[in-house]
Amino acid sequence: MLFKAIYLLPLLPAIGVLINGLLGKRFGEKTVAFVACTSVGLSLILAIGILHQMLIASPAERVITSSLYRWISDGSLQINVGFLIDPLAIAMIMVILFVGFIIHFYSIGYMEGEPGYRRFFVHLNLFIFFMLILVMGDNLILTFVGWEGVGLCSYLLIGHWYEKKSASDAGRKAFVVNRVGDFGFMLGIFLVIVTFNTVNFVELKTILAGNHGIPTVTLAIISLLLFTGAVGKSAQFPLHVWLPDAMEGPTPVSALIHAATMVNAGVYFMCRIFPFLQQSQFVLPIIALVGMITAVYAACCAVGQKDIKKVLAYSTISQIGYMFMAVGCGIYVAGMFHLVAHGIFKGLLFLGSGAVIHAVKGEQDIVNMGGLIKTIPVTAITFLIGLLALAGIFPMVGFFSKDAIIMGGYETYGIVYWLFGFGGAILTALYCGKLFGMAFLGESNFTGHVHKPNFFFKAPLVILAVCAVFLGILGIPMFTKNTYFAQFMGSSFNLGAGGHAAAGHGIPLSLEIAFTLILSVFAIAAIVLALFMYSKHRKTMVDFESRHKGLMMFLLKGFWIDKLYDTIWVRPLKWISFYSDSVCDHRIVDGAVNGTGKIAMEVGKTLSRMQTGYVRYYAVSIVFGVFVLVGITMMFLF
Amino acid sequence: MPILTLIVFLPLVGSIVVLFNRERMWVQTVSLVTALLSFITTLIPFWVFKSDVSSFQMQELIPWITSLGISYHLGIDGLSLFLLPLTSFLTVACILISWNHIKIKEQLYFVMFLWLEVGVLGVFVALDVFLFYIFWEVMLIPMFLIILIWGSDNRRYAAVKFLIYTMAGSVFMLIAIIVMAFLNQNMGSGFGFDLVDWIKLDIPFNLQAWLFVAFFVAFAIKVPLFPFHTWLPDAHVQAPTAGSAILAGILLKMGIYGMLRFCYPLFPEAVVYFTPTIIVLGLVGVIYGAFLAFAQTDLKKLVAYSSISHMGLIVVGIFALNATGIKGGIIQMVNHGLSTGALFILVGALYERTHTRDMDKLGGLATRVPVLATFFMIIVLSSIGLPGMNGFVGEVLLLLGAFKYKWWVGGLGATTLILGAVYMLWMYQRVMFEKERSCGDLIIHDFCLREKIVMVPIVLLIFFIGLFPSFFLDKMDTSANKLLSYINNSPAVVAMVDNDKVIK
Amino acid sequence: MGFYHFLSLGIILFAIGVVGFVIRNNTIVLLLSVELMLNSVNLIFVAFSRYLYGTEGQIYVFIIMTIAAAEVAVGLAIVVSIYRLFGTLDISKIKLLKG
Repeated sequence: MLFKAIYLLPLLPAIGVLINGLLGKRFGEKTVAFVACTSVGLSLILAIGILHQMLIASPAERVITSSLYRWISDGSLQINVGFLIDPLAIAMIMVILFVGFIIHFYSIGYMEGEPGYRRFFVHLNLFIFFMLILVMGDNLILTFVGWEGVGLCSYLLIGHWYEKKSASDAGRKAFVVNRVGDFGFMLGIFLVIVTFNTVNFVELKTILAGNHGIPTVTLAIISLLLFTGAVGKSAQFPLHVWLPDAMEGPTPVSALIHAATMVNAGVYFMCRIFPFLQQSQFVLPIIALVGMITAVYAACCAVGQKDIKKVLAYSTISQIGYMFMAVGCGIYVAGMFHLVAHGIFKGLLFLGSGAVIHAVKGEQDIVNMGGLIKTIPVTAITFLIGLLALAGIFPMVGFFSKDAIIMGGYETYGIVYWLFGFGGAILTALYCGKLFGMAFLGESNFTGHVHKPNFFFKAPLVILAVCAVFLGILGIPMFTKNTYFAQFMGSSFNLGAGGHAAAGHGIPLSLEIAFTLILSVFAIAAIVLALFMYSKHRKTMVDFESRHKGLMMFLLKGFWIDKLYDTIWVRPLKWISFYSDSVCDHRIVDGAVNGTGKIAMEVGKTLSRMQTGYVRYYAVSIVFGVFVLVGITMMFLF
Repeated sequence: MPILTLIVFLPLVGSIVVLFNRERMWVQTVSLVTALLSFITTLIPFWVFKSDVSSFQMQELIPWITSLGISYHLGIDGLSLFLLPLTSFLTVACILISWNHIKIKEQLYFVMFLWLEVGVLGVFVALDVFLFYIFWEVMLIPMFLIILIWGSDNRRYAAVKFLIYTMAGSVFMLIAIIVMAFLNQNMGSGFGFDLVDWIKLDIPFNLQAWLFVAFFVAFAIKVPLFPFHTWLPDAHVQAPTAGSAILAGILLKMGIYGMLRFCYPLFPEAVVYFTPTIIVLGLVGVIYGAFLAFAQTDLKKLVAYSSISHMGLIVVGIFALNATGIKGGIIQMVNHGLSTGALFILVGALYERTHTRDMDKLGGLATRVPVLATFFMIIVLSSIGLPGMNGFVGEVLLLLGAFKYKWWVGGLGATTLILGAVYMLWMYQRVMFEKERSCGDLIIHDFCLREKIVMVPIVLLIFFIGLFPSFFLDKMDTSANKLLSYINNSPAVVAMVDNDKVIK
Repeated sequence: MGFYHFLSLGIILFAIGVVGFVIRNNTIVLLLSVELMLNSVNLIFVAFSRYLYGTEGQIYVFIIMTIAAAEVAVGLAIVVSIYRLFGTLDISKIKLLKG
């Protein structure tokens, strides 16, 4: 018997929002934090319970649905507020609630004494609520609710320090760019409604598993439109521009929203609608291509970054690119595994960077750090673990997850994809090494007292680091499609008669091991090299960078894509809008209206000259008029 | 019990009572009590209304000027059901927000608001077109006076522009109404103005086209549909806060109401014929209005242009010729009334505190007026259609309707998702976020209790509609289908569709 | 003296009245001219009444006379207030109606 009241999961954070939001005015910081953490903690416990139930249930029974009430109805189309938990969802939920809870806990210390303390926790809780709605919604529209809701929270939290213009600009940019993606998402939903007359995931899956006779092109268009939404939310090329700016937000926000959960929603969503992708062949290569471009592009940019958080931001974009590569190869399980792994280690890295920034009093430029390993060893070591996981070094979780994706790319699309994946991985290792070398090794460039992290900082870091080391177990046994994680998730990606998702032609085990070894060796070499160069020979590297200023700026600014968008979108639109205000509306449209009035006035003025004011003229004209009238009457009469 | 008569004329009675005494307290209290009572009476139809009946309900029919076939005929359906409480609700809000802010001719001010309410309620329940026209014109005068007497600097220009523009539209409608009365004599049951009789007429297409245009222009000006929109920014900017709120919240809805109430059943073939044109105009309004809103620095103007954009979308939805769009249109009327009304109230509240509406001079107010900022945020989000709030439901249905009509119509309409976010959030940022610019030395109070009392119900309603739209959608379902059936069952339209099929 | 003599006299008087109304400047003279026109019409009415052996014409005459009396009263009152307002009765100097 499965637990049915799954609506409690999002409900608890919502209650937290209400308590803190409506009654919290007189609460102290401790009460606010307690309420916020408890609500998420209870949800987490509940989620663990559900996970446990799912583990002991047979694969076919691992689905819980619960429909609350009819929300919107239009003729035969019924949209319910209903929830759905299957292995896919519970994996995501665990990431959200586990990382979410840890970050809530971390924020108690990080945000201490900030003026917007309560506001921060309200928004954080609200975010968890919407994220759960996104993941648990059993239909497209409800998912869209969560989708937009997390966008809102992201907007609010990026702009948490709203008095900084850059922060509120960044928040707004995030929202608007996301909306561009959501535009596609919404049209996709409409097309689904028009085609299927339902938005329920379970029903859609049933229809698609059967003999439906819907043209592939329609399915492909739907997939592409929905994918647009995912591109926006997951900051993929070309809609990635908002994520680096989003680092204006407080670091826990970057950790939770812009690394571990929200930005991964796109990947999750693609997995959720995998039946569409599966049946529209040419969409998968497009997704893989977008993922690949993003993965390599963002890794390049990350190498050139100076701000510790921006390195991580670009790295996030890049890693999500890998996840999309996995989706594009049809190996959804691998994508989800990387998502979970990334949620853990990237959360760890961001929290670590928060601890670093806190330690060096708000300094974010890694050039001005260095040698921090001596002063804050716990942070440094956990950070290193996170970086190793990110770079995919054995035995961290990233090794298992990333390898599966790169091999999957080779299996499906051949050697070119493998090479790009490989290149991206090397670049990842490089910037990981650079980051650690610059910030923690070598001589200290930071003048001033270094704050030691307290319990609220250390505990989350250690917990996440432990997870990052041991979660790799889920990826065993390697080189098979039947890892522990896949055994659990598999049933989510079963499209009935359609067979298993992956369409690879199978490669010999020896080749696979060889590829993995090559990748690992190169990655380790790259990270060691970067560590060495940036710690021991920092001067050389700095000189090198200053000699290639143009290139470094090119990387730092993300290939000038922001500038490009500014030129081709923002400026013209602004220009059009000001032009249509000052000229079109005032001169032409309103000009016509006022012109009509003016013409009437002019005619009146001209005619009013006949009013001389001399009574006798009026008299004469009356007489004259009488003659004319009489004359006309006469003419008609006789 | 003639409930509709009670609903319509209760404010009139109240306004007479207001006239008994000049004292401030008396005037305010009586107006408020009247408005509240009126609000309660407009809720009665919710209990009486049967959502599965497609004909007009709660009808009252009394012969009035029998020699001209004019009768006193009232009735409601799922279309007007929601507009009545919206009207009376916003009137209560408007009376509350102008509580202490009217310095001259206070008595007249409140009487005008009550009369305005009479006019608007009358428009929404009249089934005799002559009666409708009377209410339609009656409502102009109080609005004209509200702008003219209590407006800001350039009020005369705005008031006269509003009056003449609207009157010019109404004249066409009047002509068409008279023609219709004669048509009824020639083809139907004798010279008369009863809408229910008119609906039965089968008017030849040529005539339909002309009559449709005449009616439509009057309504389009009211909506206002591009290119008839230029009176709106002027009127909004000059009108007092409550005037703007009621203008945007209710008066604009009368245009949409008219289109659905008259154009749909009376001229179905003309509707089908003109649909492409109107949809294009609506889409232009959506996008053009959003661009204009983006260019503004005056808060009120921005909200006014955003209204144009939103109303354009409603027009697109209702002319998409499917039940989805019509239902979306009806519910979005309510939504837009609530959120734009509330936006104007908030802008007015800001103006009272900072004495400016120039966004370049505002800024950084979130720290100083946190409660106001929170309300403002909620309303802004509702206005840009954030899911979970009312705007989303309306937008989804409207856009889905448009999408069903033609995919690109839905696509272009959906740009409002992006554009709305662009201008609204930029506005919010310039007003509430960043550093303070020039209001630093002013003493700015946060919302007082009275203002909270106004805003809280609005916010609750916003969430209620957003979370439980079925409560509303179910009630309008039958009426929307009925409106649609006029179009689909009209013989000429059936023939047109058949032709299309043959061509395909 | 026949019908045509009365008719001619009436027309001549009317013409004098019209010309007087148009060319004179004094408001009182204008008023007198108007009276002249009225009375010329009266004369014509009476003449026709006699010529056609009817009584309607004479009835109209009485109505016109009553109205004329009233009109003179109102007219003189207006003249007085015009004088008070403008300090002159010269009609060419009073042109508030000029557009």
